[in-house]
Amino acid sequence: MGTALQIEDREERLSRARAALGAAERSAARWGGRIDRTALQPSARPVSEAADDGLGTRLPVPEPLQALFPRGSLRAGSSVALEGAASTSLLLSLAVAAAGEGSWCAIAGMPDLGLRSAMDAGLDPCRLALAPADGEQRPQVLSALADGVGVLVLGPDLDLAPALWRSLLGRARTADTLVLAAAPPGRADLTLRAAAQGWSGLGRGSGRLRRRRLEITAEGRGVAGHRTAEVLLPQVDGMLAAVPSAASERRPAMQLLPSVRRAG
Amino acid sequence: MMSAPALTPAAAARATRTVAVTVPEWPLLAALDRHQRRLEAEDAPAPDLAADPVILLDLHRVTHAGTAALDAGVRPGMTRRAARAACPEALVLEADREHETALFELVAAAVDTIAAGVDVLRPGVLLMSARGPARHQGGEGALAERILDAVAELTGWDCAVGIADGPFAALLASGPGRIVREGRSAEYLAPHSIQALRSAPVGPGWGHRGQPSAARPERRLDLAETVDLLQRLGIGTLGDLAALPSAAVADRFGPDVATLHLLARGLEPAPPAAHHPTQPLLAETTLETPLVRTDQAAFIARPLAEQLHALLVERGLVCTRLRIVARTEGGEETERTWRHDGALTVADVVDRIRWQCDGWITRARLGGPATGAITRIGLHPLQLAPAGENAPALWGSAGEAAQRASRALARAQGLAGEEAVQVPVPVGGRLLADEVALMPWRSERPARREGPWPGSLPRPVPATVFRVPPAVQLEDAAGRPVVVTARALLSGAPTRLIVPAPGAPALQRAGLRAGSGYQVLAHSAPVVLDERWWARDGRRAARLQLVVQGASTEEIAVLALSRAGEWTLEGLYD
Repeated sequence: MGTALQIEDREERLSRARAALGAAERSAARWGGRIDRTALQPSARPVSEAADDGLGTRLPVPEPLQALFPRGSLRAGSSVALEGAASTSLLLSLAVAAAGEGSWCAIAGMPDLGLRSAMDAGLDPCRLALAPADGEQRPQVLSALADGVGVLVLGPDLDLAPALWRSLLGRARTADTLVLAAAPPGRADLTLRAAAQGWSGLGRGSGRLRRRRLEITAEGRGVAGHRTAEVLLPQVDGMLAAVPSAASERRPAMQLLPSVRRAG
Repeated sequence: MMSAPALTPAAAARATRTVAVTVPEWPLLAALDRHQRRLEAEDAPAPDLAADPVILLDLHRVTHAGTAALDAGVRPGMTRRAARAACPEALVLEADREHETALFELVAAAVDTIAAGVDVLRPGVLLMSARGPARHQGGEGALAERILDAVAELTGWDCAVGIADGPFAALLASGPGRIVREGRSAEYLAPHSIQALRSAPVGPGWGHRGQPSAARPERRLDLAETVDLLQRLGIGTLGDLAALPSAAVADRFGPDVATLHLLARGLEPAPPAAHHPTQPLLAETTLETPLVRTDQAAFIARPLAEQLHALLVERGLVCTRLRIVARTEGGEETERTWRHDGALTVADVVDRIRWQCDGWITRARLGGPATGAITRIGLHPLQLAPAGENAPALWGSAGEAAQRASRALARAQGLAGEEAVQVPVPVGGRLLADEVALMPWRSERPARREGPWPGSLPRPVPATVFRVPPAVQLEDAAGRPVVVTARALLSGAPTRLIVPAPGAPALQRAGLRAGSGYQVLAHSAPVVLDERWWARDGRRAARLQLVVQGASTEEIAVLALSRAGEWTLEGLYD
């Protein structure tokens, strides 16, 4: 009884301390200081969703896509393959969610990646590394990255050998690294297939690209049959969003958009 | 840089008080050292190298010869055959520049114990600023003595020290071991023969530090040629050269000889740069009783690992690659290199020493190649990183991820070069490819160019931005090419997008194959980019967002850019 109370008290104190620390960190960050983001996590969930629940560490996924994933999250050390349209944007938004506020992200084999779109999607440039991975040392470089970073993104231009892909998966599993790959040469734990449903916002000589509807199908380990979700990617703030319901979509023809804050 | 001291007399009057430390005949010493080590490794009796004639060859020409060889008639510049004929019993060695440089780091490190920061000019010669160290040691004479002692004590070689204003005078003064009084460098230099220019401490482009000049790779003046030219012009001494007006020298001979002129006047083109060489780290133990049983290894491993750890902690370093070398009774050396993703702790090192010794002992017991008992174990840390970057954060665990990642990235860079890991740096620009630059990880970041950038693209931006923009053609309904007029209007509504040549693989994947046309479903109004309109190199460009129907009837959105009537694809919304 007494110990339980004590623990409760301790946890409460811990969360209070974190909140105070978070406030200090935020004000330091505003002035360009280097910050430690663990303290920035909201105190409402002192035990983060990246907690160990006996099934390994779970990594968050973008909220509109949660229905696609078993248990609504990704296991650290697992692998996701992406196929079809919008693979680059989808890779980026999955990487952003999984990297969260602490892990590093490495992107290999995407020479034509739009870096501004990566930052618009929410990737922290301070925790992002790009590896061309085109030399002789490619297997070693990729394994070093798989050992060290939290999220490893493998682009479609890598042209991996199946043996290298399998060995990378093995390494990633032991190092708890999430592997996101576009069109990998072998099986992955989960496969997402996206089909573009069309763009909106652009007319004939007027307007601008605003959003694209995507239909994403998931299949693989832990998913019976397949699951489907419809999302907007990209949309006006560059991130992934759920398709709004029909009622909210009926908007006046002319509407001023709220000013969009640029990513720092 | 070169002409600045010449132009401002106030600056010209002040050349840095410089110490030059030279080891005479350094290439010969380094080659002999290597030869001796090889003999020791083979357990051959070391000959008396001081008395025997020695010849050093580089590119089949004699570059240095020992006194005995010189007495026998060997001269620098001879071919191997001629030198052999002059002195048949001489020991002939090949020059190894890398070894010379590596070995000279020992001398540099020894000098660094006396004065912080030395500038290694080339193997055998180093420069440093004299003022601070001289005040610390209580005078320039005392400083020179301390340097001589330190080098002799720590490396066993004799060196020569000269102190003067400016690097050239200091270098020449180091031969006779003199200290030239302040402000007297020009006088000291004047009587020297123009031949002394051959050893001038000249900058990049002249083979300084073994690197060719990046600025003028095609024109590397040969010092010997220059000296020859000056001699033919009747300039016999450095004083003659210094007496020429500097503007005339620069006009007639160009900036390289102007630098030499500057040096001959006792001035300096740049003050010595400071760098801190380090003594190579090594933890070694000689076993009194040779190692024959596995359990003995564990006892030896711990103190050795702790010794290494103390060495590293003292220098604020962590080791991520370690070579363990063992020497057996038979004189055989076996080594193995261990990598570790993280910093190697004492326990890690102990484990590795034990594993390795186990392996050897077991192999010997199983009747492998006879190695004999182990008598000496050495630890050589190969890959060192500053501990500061790996130190845990003050609170929380976020430091851990960064620590792990930075080690992985360092590893990748170590494997495949600096360019193997790049980080994005927002620099600002109008075009998508210019907005964010990619820099090698841990390199200097370019400064951000402050905007505003009128015409930069609002969100959403294309997820694929072509590094090499593929050329495309836009046609209107009548089949005429679409252009953007001077008033920023389209000449006609685009209806077809044609990809003429196979371009980026991303384009192929999206379903825009080369050699076919695609129907344009929607397009925006052109947005004009007036790049640098105020400058001569300013250009106008126009951007157009397009939605085209791909081969699989999927809608594909692209961003097209028109420049001088030619269309390219800047990005792909994929």
